[in-house]
Amino acid sequence: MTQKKARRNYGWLLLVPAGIWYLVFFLIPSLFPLVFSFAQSDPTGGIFLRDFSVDNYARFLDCNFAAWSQLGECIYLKVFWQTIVFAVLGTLGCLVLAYPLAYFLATRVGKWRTTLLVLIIIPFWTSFLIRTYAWVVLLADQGLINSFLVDLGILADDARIPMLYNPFAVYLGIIYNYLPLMIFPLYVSLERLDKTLLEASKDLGANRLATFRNITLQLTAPGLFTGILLTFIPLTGEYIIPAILGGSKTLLMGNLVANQFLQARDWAFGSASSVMLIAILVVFILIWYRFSEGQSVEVA
Amino acid sequence: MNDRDLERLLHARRVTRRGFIYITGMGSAAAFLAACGGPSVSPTSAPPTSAPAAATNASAAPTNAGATNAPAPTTAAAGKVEDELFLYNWAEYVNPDNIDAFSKANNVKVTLSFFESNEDALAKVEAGGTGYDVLAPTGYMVQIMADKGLLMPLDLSRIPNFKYMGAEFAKGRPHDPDNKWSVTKDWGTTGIAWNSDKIKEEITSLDDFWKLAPKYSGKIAMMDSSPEIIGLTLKYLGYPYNSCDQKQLDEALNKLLELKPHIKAFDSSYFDLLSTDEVWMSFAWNGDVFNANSKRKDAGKPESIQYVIAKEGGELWEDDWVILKDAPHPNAAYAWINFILDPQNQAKESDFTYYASGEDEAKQYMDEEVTKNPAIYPSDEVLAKLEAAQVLPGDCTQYREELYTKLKSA
Repeated sequence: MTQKKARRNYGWLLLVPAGIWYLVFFLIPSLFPLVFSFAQSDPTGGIFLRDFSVDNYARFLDCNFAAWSQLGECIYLKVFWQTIVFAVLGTLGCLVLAYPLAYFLATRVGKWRTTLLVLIIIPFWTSFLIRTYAWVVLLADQGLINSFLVDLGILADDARIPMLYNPFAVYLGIIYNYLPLMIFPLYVSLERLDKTLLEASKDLGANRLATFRNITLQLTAPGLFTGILLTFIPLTGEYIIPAILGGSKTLLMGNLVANQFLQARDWAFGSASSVMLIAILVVFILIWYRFSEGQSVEVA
Repeated sequence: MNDRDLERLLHARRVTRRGFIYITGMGSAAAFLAACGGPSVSPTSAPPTSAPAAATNASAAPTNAGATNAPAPTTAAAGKVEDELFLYNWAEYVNPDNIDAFSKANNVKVTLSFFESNEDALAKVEAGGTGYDVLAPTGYMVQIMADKGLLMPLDLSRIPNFKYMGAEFAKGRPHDPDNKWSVTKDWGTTGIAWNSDKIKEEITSLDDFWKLAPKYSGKIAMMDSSPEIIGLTLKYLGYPYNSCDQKQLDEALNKLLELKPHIKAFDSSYFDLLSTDEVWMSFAWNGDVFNANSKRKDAGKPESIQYVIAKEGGELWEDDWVILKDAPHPNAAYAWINFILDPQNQAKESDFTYYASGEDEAKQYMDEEVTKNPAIYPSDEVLAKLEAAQVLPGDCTQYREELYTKLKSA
C-alpha cells in the first residue's frame, strides 16, 4: 500500500530575504520619482505634493519632429536619442572586442585560464573614478602619451595628438570600463558549450563558419543576450565618462537628470526625465526577453 | 525547468562539485561586476570630482606658527563653549593656523568636513542628522537654506567682532540684507584667466575672449556651471547678469554656440588645465589663478597665469559663515565666528586663501602682495561693474537650465 504524501513546496521561502531587500531598497524608493514626476517642484529644491499633472512629461516629450534639426526643438528627446546612440555604439564596441577574447579564454587557453581571468577582474576592483581619471593623465595633450612621443622626437611639440575631450576618449573610456560586463557572461556560456558538439559538426561536414553560426552562436545565445543587457543598461545611465573624458561637452540622460536636481532644483522634471528613461528601458528589456525566449535549445 | 529536464541534464553531463563551484563562482563574479561595474560615485556631486566628503581632524596640536596668537575673545556666551566643533567647508578654504589657534585658546576640538559644491552641501544638510555646526556656503545658497529653515538666526550681539565688518558687507547684501543668517567669510570675483606666456595679446574684456577664441581654438575652457557661463555671456552682451528676459537669454545661447567649437572642456577644475598648459584661456574665479600659478611653480613652469575682470563686468560673489539650526555645539559655533572675524585672523585667512576679506580693518595685517593685487582687491571703479548672482524665480531657472541643455547637446 503506497500512498505518496503530498509534499508542500517551501522553496519560495528562499526568495523572501532577497524579495524584502528589493522591495524596501529598490521598488519602494523607485516609487518616489514616479510620484514626484506628477507633482510640483519647490524652486529652492524639493517637492510640493499638490497640483498633480502630466506637465513634466509633456515638457519632456515636447517635440516638433519636422523641425528636429532646429535649435530649441525637441530638446529632451534629442538628449534621449543621443544617449541611446551612445549606449548602442558602446555596447557594439564592447561586443566586438569581448567576443573573441571570451572565445579564446573559453576554448584555447589551458593552464593560464585562471590567471588571465583574474587579470581581467583585478582592475575592476579599483575605483571606477580613479581609472577614468587615469585616462585623463594618459590622453591629455600635455599628458603622458603625447609627452612621451614628443620626447622621442616623433611628434613636434605643437603637433600633439588630441586624444582627450573628444568622442574618441569617451568611447575608449566606456569600452575600457564596461568590457568585463560583456566578457564574463560570454565566457561563462562559451565555456559551458559542449565542445564535442563542435567535433560532431565537423564530422558531419560543416565548415567552421557554419559550425559557428549553427552551433556555437545558437547555444551560447543566452550569454550573448545577458552580456548585451548588462552593458547596454548601465551605459544609458552613464554620466561620469562624458563629463570627465568628454570635457562635459555632451549631455546624456544621466547628466540631464543630475542637472535638473542640482543646478535647476527642478525635482519634478528631473523625476519625470528619469522615469521616462526607466520606462523605455523596461519596455526594451521586455521585448528583448520575449525575443530571447526562443533561443534556449535543448541539449539532448 | 521540470524534473525531466533536470534528470536529462544530470545524465547528459555530470555535475561535479568542482564544476558547480566553478560555475557559481563565475556567475557571482559576473553579478558582482554588474553591481559594481557602474559608476561608484555619489550622484550628488556635480561637477564630478574625486574627493568624497572626508573628515580630517585638526585637533589642538601645538604649532610653531602660532606665535602671533590673535586673542580669541570669548563672546558674551549664552552658555559654556562646548568642547567640539564641526565645520563643513570647501577644501583648503580655512587657514590651518587659525584652526589651531582657536582650538588651543578655547579648548575645542575642531573637525573639518568638505563639500565640492553648494548643491552637495544643501543636499546633505537637508537630509539632516549631519552633526555639522558651521557651514561656509556661497551667498545664493544662504538664501536658499534660510528659506528652507535650515539655518539658525544669528544673534549679532554674540559676535562683537562683527563691528569690524566693512560697510557693504554689514548691511544691504542682496541675499541677506539684515545679516540675519550669515556673516561674510570672504568675497571674490569671476573674470578671465589666461596664460601670458602662450597668449601674447593683452586680454581685458569678454570681447577679447570671443575674438581670440578662433585663433586659440581648442585651448579654451570654462567652468561647468550654468549661472557663471550664462551670466558672463549676458554681461558681454550688455545685459544684466541675472536677466530672465527670454530674448536676451536666447542671444546669450547663440553667442555661446559660437564659442563652443573652440572650447576644449567645460570643467570646474579648469585651473588644473591652465596649470598644465592644456588650455591657455578660461573663465575663472579669481582665487584659482593663484592656485594654478603655485602648481606651475612646483612644476618648474613660469607663473604666467593672469587674471582680469572683464571691461563689460563680471560677478561678485561671497561665501558666508552660517550656523545650522540643529547645530549640536552652538556656543562653540558663535565662538568660532567671532574668532575668525577678528581682523588679524581675517588677514591670516586672506594670506592663505588669496581671497579678499569683508573687513577693511584686516588689510593692515595682510601681506602686501595680497592687498596690492588687483586680482584680489580690484579698484572701486572695477567693483562697480560687478553684479552678484541672485536666486532666480523657478521659471527663470528652468529657462536658463534649458539653455544650458541646448548648449551641451548641440
